[in-house]
Amino acid sequence: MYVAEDISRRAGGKTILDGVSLALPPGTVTVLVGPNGAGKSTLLRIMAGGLPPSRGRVLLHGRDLAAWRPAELAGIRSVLSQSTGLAFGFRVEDVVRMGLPRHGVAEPPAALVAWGLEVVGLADAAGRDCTTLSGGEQQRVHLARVLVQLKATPADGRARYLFLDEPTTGLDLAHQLLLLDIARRHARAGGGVLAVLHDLNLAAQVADTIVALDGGRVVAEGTPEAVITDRLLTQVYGVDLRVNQASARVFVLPVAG
Amino acid sequence: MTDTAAVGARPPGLLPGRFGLAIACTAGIAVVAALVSLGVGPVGIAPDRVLAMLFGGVQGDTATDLRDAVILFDIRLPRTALAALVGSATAVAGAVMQGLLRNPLGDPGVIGVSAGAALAAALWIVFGASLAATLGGWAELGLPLSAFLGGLAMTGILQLVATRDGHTSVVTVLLAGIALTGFTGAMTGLLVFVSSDQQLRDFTFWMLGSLGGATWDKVMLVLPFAAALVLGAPALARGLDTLALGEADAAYAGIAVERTKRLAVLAVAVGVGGAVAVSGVIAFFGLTVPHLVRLSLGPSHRLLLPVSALAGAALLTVADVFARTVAAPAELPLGIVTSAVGAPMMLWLLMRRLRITG
Repeated sequence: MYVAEDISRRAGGKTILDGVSLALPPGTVTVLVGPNGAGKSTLLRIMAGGLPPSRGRVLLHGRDLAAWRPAELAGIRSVLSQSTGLAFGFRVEDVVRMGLPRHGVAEPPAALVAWGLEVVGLADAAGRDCTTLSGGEQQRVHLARVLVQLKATPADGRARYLFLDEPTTGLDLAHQLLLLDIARRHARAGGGVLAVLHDLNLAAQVADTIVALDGGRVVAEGTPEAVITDRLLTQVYGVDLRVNQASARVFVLPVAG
Repeated sequence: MTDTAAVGARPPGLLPGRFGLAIACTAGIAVVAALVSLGVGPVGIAPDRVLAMLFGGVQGDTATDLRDAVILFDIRLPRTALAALVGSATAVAGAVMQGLLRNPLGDPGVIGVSAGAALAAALWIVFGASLAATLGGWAELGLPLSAFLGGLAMTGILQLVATRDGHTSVVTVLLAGIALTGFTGAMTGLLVFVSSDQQLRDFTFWMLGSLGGATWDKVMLVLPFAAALVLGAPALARGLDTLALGEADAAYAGIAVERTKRLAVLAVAVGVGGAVAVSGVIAFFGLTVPHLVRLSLGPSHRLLLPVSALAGAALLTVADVFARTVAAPAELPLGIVTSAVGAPMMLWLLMRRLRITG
């Protein structure tokens, strides 16, 4: 179980998060939504261990996140950042390989790397210079890297967590759906997913639980149907739109088909 | 599976074919460069005679034979060894610094680390004598240790100035480096100006670098520093590779980022301190060599660090041969030769990056 308890974060005299608590049960996809500056990415980074909270704590399997060694944590939690730069022209497969632990790889490294690239549809690009790929393709390389990171550590019965910070940025429609499918499959296999998504339609499609943040506080939490309401759109997003219902999922205009 | 599997079939980190080949080739080039360096000078010695003397001692007993032996063993061999060690240490320190800053423009000579080491070394020469008595047997190490501490302090200051929220701004590093280089250069100049010490007479030695006056003592002085860096740096390879993703993502991937950065700073200071103590500031060399290696072998530090060590040894040996023969009997400061090659390369790198990023 992955739990954030009463997290606050202040930076530069400004409160970014104010007493947020959140649990990520294994087997579910949790999606953070909210307007710009609501604190979504900050919450994700704090829960991922990339940023210390000013107050509160994050517990993973009952142990404070600060007490985990980076390598140990990397085996059960991986993070796809908003945008990952690459300082030098590494080959695609070398970038994916950066997700492998130094010791104790579950499967032959080459097979893991090939699997990761296969999953994101970049098997043909293994030998290419990663910095020459398009933004969306690079994002998929990093997705392969973080998936390989979770798969590389031998199974020990503990749930693996996948963190996705605005993962669909730069991806075309087909790959946005692929990404959501990967997230859903990860949850079905018993893992936990925490994603920040801007697109409420995508959020409604993929989430088991949606957590809406505004001004650093949780303003709504629950199933997509319970959270994505006309009230949320007007009060939190300040837009005058109606929520619609189709095939058991809610959606916000415009939607195709 | 497709050929993806075949390409990926090499074990990570070992890359036996490519790794072995690259090491063997650069080692071969380094040996040839050393033979050239041993043979070329006011008195030429043929490569076969160099080899015969190296492995069999003095050949023959004429005055010429003895003279050649003295030239080889007392002048050229220490100088060549010094060039190789300083070249290795400088190149590897440059490669580590670039990995640390995640930018191919990082060079200890350009951003003031070498200048800081040179200032500390000059301080030791002027004021260290009074300390030397109390240090006893350690006095010998005073010079390189001062240079090491100077380099360490300078790298630390640069990191401190340029790091905000775990993100190191390369532009700030480069600009701060300009300020620090100017300041430490001025201080070194002032020391040289007020000092009557014989060793400090030559300001150009510290600021432009030279291997003139190479002795076995100097070789033994730099040897532990160069050896520690060249043998120790590969342990940082995985961390430096992953740092290319940025500090946050490297940490998410399981790298102990702060520890890696501290060790990298230490490695740079060790290499630069040792090299500067015996040769002054040889600018742009730490930028040029890793870049050439990256062009031919890719950016992976597993290959970059050991190959840069060998290529650095080879190239600085060649540069030194050039520096001492082109204007013979006068000798060019070595830093002029390396800057003449390295500075245009830095400009070219800058222009290429501007084109890429628009």
